[in-house]
Amino acid sequence: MSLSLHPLERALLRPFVLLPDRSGFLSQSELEGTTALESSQIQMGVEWLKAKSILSERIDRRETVLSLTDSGEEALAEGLSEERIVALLSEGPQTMNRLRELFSDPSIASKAVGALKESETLRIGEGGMVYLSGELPSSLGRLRELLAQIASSDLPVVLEELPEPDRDLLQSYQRKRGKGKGLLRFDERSQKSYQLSPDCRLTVHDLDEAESLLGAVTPEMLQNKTYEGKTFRPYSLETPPPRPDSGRLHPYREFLDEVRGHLVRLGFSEMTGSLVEPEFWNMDALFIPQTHPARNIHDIYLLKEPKTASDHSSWPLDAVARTHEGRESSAPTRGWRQPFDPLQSRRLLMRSQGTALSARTLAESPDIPGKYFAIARCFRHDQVDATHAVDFFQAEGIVLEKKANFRMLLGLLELLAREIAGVDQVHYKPAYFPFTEPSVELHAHHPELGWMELGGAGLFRPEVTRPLGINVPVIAWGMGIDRMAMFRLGLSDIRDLFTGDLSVLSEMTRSEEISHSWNPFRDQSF
Amino acid sequence: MPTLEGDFDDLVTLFGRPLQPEEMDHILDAVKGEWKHFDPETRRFKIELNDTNRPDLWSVEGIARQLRGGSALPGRPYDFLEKAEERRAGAGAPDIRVDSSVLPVRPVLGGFVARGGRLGEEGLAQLIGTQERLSELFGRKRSDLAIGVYPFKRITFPLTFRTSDPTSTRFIPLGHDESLSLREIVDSHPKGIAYGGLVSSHPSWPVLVDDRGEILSFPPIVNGRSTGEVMPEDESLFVEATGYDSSRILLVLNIMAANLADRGYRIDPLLVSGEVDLVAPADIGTVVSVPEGLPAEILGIESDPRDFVETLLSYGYTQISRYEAEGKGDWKVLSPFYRDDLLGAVDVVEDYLMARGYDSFDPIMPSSFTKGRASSRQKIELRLRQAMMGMGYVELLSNILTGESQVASRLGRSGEGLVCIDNPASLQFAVVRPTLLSGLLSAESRSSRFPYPHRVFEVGEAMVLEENIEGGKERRVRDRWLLAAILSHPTASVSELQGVLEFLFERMDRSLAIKSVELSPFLSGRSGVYVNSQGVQVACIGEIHPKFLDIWGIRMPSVCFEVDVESLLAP
Repeated sequence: MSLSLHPLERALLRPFVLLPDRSGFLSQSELEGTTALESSQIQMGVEWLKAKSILSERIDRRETVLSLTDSGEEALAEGLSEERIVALLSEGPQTMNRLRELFSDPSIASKAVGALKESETLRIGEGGMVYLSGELPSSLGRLRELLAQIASSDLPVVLEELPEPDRDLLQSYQRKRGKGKGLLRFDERSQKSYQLSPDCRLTVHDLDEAESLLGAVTPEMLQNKTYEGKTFRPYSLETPPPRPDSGRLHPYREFLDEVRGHLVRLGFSEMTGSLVEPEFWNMDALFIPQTHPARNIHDIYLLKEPKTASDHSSWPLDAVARTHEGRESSAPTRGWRQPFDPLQSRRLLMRSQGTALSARTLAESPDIPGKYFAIARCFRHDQVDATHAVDFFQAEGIVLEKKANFRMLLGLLELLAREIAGVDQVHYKPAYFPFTEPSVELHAHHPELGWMELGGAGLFRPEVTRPLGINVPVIAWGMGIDRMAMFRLGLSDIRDLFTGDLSVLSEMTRSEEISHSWNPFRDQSF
Repeated sequence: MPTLEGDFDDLVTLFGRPLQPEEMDHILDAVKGEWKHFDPETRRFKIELNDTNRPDLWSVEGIARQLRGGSALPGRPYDFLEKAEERRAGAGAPDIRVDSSVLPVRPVLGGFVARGGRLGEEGLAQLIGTQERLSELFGRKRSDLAIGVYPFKRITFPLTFRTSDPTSTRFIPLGHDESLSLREIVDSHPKGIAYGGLVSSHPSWPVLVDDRGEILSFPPIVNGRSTGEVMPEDESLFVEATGYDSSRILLVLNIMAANLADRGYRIDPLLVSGEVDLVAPADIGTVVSVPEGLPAEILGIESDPRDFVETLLSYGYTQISRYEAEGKGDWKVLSPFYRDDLLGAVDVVEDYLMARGYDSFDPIMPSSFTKGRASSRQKIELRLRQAMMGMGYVELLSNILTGESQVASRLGRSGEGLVCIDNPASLQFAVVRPTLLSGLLSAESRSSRFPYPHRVFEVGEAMVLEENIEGGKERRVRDRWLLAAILSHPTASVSELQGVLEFLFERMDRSLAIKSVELSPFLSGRSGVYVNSQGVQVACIGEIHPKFLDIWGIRMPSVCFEVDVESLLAP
C-alpha cells in the first residue's frame, strides 16, 4: 500500500505513524511545524489522503480572518469618509454636491452623511446646506486604530479573538466578498485536525522503503539508464486529474455548419450578401405590394444614413414596376393595380428575409438547372423576448429546373425535413406568401418535439421570375432553424443562442454532446 | 394575419352539415386557416387566417361558404347579382347621389339594403367583427376604405354623400347624448381621435345625409345616433362603404352581401350616381386566362381537363369556358363574385391543387444533377474558427444590433461612422455593430464566475459608414467581416495573444509586422496595428485599459485583438 503513496503523502503521514497513540490528532498548524511543508501542500496532501480513507478530519473551530478591502486601504490612507466630511465642514457649511465630489463613488458621501446625521455630528439646513453640529462619534477613532492594526499585523487578525465592542464595531463595516463598498473583508476559515484511520497499518519502515522508489521518468534517467535494477513508484491513478482548457466551436454555429453540409451534399450552392438591402431586392423583386404591412416601420429596421441606395442603375426596376402595376406583357398578371413608387424601392433596410438573396441570384444569370441556398442573418422589428431575437438565422433556397413542379417541391421539402430536421412524418398545408403560388407550409412530426411548423415554400410567381429574366419554374423554400437548434442545445429562450455567458455556452455544448450520444448509430443528425 | 373568433355551432349551421372540432385543423387547410383554440365548455373557437389576399375568408360566413364549395345555402340564393344587372339596366333615379364636393376627400361610395333576416346575438357580433376586419386590415385602418352598417327603418332615401363645414355642421354621434360639430368629433370623440387624420387636412368634411336632411354618418369616422345602433333583432339593414377605389368598394360590399344572404337576408343592390355610377353588390367580372397545359406543368403530371373544370366548380367557381385560337387552347375562368385575388393563371391552378388536397399528390425528387458548394467565405471562416479552436479558444456568437454606447463610449471611441437604425425598437438595439470587441467584453463581464483562464473569439459580420468614394455627398454603408478574440486571466499579456494572432497570419500565409500605436480602449504603449502592403489596417491588438475594464465591470487583466478578414486576405 505504501508503494502508491506520493512523496508529499509520505511526508505528511510520517508524524502520524510516529505518534505514541496512533489514533491521536494533529492540527494543520502542528503539521506545518513538523513537516516543514507549505500550508497549500499540506492541504493538497490531506485531500488526497482523505480520498484514500487513510486520514479522517475533525473541525476544531471556525474563525473569521479580517483583511482590508480597497476602500479600507483608502480610508486608512486618506481618512474615513466621515472624517473627511467633518474636516471639510469645519471650514464652513457645504452643499451636498460639494461633499459628493470628495469621493470617487458619490454614494459613499450619501451613506456617511446619513450616519453622521444620526450621530448628530451634522445637520442639513435650508437649501440642502450641510452644517457641522457636533463631534465625531468616538467609535470612529477606535475603528481607525483597528484598521491600522489589521493592516500592520504579521499574523492574521481573527475576529473572534477581539473584545466584544470591537467585534460589533467591525461587523457593522463588514463586507461580503464582491459586494458593497465596505472597509473590511471577512473570510471564514476553519481549524481542522486529522487522524489516521483505524485500519491503516502503515509503519515508518513502509514509508522509508517507499523513499527509495523511482519517481518521474527523466531524460537523464533514460540517457544514463539509472533506472536499471530499481523499481518505479506506482502512481495513484484515482487522483482527480486537472481539467484541460479546451477550445470549442459555438454549438449553434456547428449546427448551422451541419445544415450547410446537408445542403451542399444535396447539390445546393451557397449565396451570401450584405446585411443591408434596399426594399427593391428585399420586397419589390419578390412582388410584395408596396402597401404590404410587412413594409411598415413597425416591421422592418430602416437606416438613418444613408436612407436610400445609390447603386440602383443595374436593377431591373422598370420591369418590376410594370409588373406591380399590372402593365407587364411578359408576365400576364393583373398586378397590384396600384402606383409603384421607385423611390420606395431604394429605401434601405436591415435584411428582413433571406429571400432577398434568392431574388438577387435570379437576376444574376444563375445556372439552369441550379440549386442555391443561404443561411442568412435576418432582422425583424419585434419586441425581444424568449421567442424573438433581434437578429436570427434563416435557411432558404431555390431550385431552378426546366421541369420543376409542385410535386417536386413536395419531394424536396420532405427530403429537407428528414435530412436536416430528422422528422418522421410530414403534412403539406396550403399557405399564402406574396411571392409564391402555389404556396405550402410544411408541418412535420419530430420524434421528440411532436408536430411543428418547419417552413414555407412554393413555386415563385411568374411576377417574380419573369422580370428578373428567368423563364423556368423556380422552387423556393425557407426554414426556421432556430427552434430545431434550441431543442438540440437544450434551450428554452432563443436569446441564449446569442448569449455571452460562458457558463450557459458551456451548458449548451454539453447538451449538444448528449444529444449526439443518444443514438450513435443513427446516421442523421438531430 | 387576421384572427377570427366565433361560435362552433354557428359555424356548423352556416356550413350546413355536421362538423367535429377535432377535424377542424385539417379541414381548414382548404381556407389556409389554422385552428388555434377551442373551448369545449363555451364552444367558442379561434382561427388564424393566413391568406392576406382573400378578405372573403375573414368571417365565419366566408369560411363556411368556401368549405361548402362556394355555393349559396338552400333557400338563401345569391340572386342579388341578377338584381344588380336589372337595377343597372332599369336605371331610374339613383338611390344615393355622390356630390362632386367629396371627390377630393373620399370620392367613392357604394351600398345596399338587406331585408327580411335576423342577425341574432352571434350574427351581430360576426357582422361587426367582419366590418372591423375589412375596414382595419383590408382598408388599411379605414384609409383605403371603411364600411358602415345602419338599421334601415329610420332612413329616408334617396341619400346624398357630400362635404360640409366642419365647424357649423353638428349631429349626435353614436355613444353621445349631445350634438357635436364635426371638428369637435375629430378633437374629442374616440373614433374621431383615431381616424380624424384621414379627413382633417381638407377644408370641408364628408357627411352622408338622408332625404330629410338627417346626418346618418360622418364617413369614415362615426355613425350618427339618429338611426340608432344595429340590434340583434333588426330585420332590415343599410350597408355602405366609402373610399377611393371602386373595385375594392365593390369587393367588400359583395362580401358583406354574401355574408348577410347566408344569414337569411334578401339583398337589394342600390344605384349610386357620382363620377362613375356604381351598383353594388354586383359581379366583378374578373376573367383570368389559364393556358391549357399549365395545370399539368405545375403538377408535373398529366391532368384531366374535365377534372380541372369539375374540381374548380366544386371550389366556388361558376363559369369556366375554353377559348381556342391558333391551335392553342386557354381556359377562361370567371372569378367568384366575392373574390378579387386572382392576379393570373397560377392563382387558379393553386385553387385547383388545394381543392384536390396537397396530401393527395405523390412527391417526387428533383431530377437534375447540380454540384453543391459552400461559399468561399464560409470555407475561410471554418479555417479561421478551427485554428482558433485549436489554440484553445471558445467561440462566441452575438447579436449584430447593439446599443450605441456599447460600441462608442464604452470603448472610448467617438461613435463616428456608426450605421444607425432610424426606427429602433429599443435603444439597446439601435446600431449595427462596427466591431466585435464590445461583444467579447460584454461576454467577459458576464462570465466572472466561470473558471479562468478565458479565451474567447468570434467571427462575423459588422458594418460601418464610409465616405462615398465616387464623390457623392451621402456616405455609404460597408459590410465588414471580422475576427476578434479576448484573453482574460491573472497574467494575461499582449505577447501571449500576439503569438496567437501571428500564428493565425502564418496559417493564412500572410507575414505582417506590428506597429505600435495609441488606440482606445487599449493601454498606451501596449497596443499596435498590423498594416498590409496597400497600407490598409488589417488588425489591431492591445491590453484593455483598466479604466475600460472598470466600465465593463471586468476584474481580470484582458487583452484583445480584432482582424479585418477581408484586408487580411487581400493579395
